Amino acid sequence: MSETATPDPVERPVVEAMLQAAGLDPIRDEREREWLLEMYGLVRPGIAGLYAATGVRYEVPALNFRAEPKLSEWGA
Amino acid sequence: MSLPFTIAETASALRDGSITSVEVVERGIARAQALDAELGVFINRFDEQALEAAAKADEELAAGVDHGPLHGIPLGIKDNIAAAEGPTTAQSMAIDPAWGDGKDAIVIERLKRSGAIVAGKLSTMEFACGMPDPERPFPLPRNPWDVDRWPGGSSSGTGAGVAAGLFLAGLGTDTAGSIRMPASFCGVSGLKPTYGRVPNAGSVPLGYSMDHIGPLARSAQDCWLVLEAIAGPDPRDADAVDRSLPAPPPLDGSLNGLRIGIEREHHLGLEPEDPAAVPVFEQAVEALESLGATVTEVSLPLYQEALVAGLVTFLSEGLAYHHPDLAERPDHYAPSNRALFSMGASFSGADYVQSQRVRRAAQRALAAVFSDLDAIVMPAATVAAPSYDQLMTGSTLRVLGGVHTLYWDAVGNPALVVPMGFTAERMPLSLQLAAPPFAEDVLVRIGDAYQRLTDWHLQVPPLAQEAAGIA
Repeated sequence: MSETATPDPVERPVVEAMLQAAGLDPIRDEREREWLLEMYGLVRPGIAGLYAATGVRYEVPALNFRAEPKLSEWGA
Repeated sequence: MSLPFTIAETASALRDGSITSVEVVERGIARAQALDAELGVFINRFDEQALEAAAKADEELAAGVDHGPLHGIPLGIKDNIAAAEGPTTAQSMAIDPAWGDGKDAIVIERLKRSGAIVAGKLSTMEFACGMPDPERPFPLPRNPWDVDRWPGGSSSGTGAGVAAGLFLAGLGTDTAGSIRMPASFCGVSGLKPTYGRVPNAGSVPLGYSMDHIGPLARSAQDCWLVLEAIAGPDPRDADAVDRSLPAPPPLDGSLNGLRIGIEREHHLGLEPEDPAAVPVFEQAVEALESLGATVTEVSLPLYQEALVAGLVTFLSEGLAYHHPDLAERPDHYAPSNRALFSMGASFSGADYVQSQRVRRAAQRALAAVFSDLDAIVMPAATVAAPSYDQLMTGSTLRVLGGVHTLYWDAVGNPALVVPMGFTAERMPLSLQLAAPPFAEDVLVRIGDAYQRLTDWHLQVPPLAQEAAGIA
């Protein structure tokens, strides 16, 4: 990413509500909260751009579900 | 005696009897003993096992048993990839200590079958993301060109170790640029293969659909030699693609007939940008033209959208993997990753799926761009390695805003980084080349031709020159 954004104080309760909804309470201090808010402020405006992107309206997602998956995994 | 720099040179020397594998391994151990307390490259060294393997490699060569160009070559392995010689920490206090215990990742199995020697496991950042953290009980990797600076990440130890000559090459992983950023910051070559070219099974996941294992080495040719050993499908990895590696590319120094796109629009003239970044890049483009390539200006399609889609994807996939542990024992995670993985909670399921549609659309549009081109070049980063002071006190996102790697993880195409010059402070800058899916041979052909014309990839940090006794 080549741009940065100033954290918006309005975003703080939004981010906290999202973490709560996800069942997470990982943020331990103000520095971590500032990192998260800075990242959120940078990325969030781009989300709308995902839905407005040229040529995406009828695109198929890059997901690959298999009815007959390979089941021999390394960790097994 | 001036010791060989590359795998290719060392392989030749091993076969003409001018050096042994044991001597190559001993050289690496001596350099590690001299430098690693300062550089923080290794999390674990396997000196005894490496020397035993080297002795065996020498015996085999003497008996006429030759496993190929990696036979008897010591490699470093990023510590998020399992190797039977020791534990896999992913540089984390949160990982299950038994993860991968006693097992080789598929790529390690293949390297060993190729005769390579595992020199040790290398420093990264926790789970290959976030920020370097001096508070954690792991080595803090430092850049051999300036030990006050970061070597880049997350394949930090691999980049720093190759640059300092602690081993001839190594493996890294790349989800958002983690092979190419440290390669660029440390002045070595690094290859992110096409997604699925190399099986990921046996490496700790970060973003399942964006993780790539690949080599860092001194030269593009060496990257190819490692890729040859690790590429190919395996039934234990559902995402590994059954696609043959092309024949080795012609390494004759000529780029006649190749069409190369130059991407300036999304890479140059933006903040942050080192004053040397543009002139050094333009010199590299001139060099490619002088080698016979035809160059033309291009623009990468859906650029900003693909970056956002990439972030949504790997942060969502990363949170899915880490959610149980992050919920139950967040204190085991590094502070930067507590914040980073939390970002994954801010995206909806629809955002994730839409990101996959954007990735597919970007692939489709990019294929159209490549219909007239063999490769596209751009700077890997328009900034040099930042100092630790900058990293710890400034805006991380601003410091790293000049790193241009994420797009190629989002679309999955292969991308190669080769050194192209230095900043005024004598810090490396690198050229990034990308090609259509599964055209790693084209990248290596271009990178090799450029490296036959230039010697940026053979520059050795003063600290490592002193350790090697060749200053």
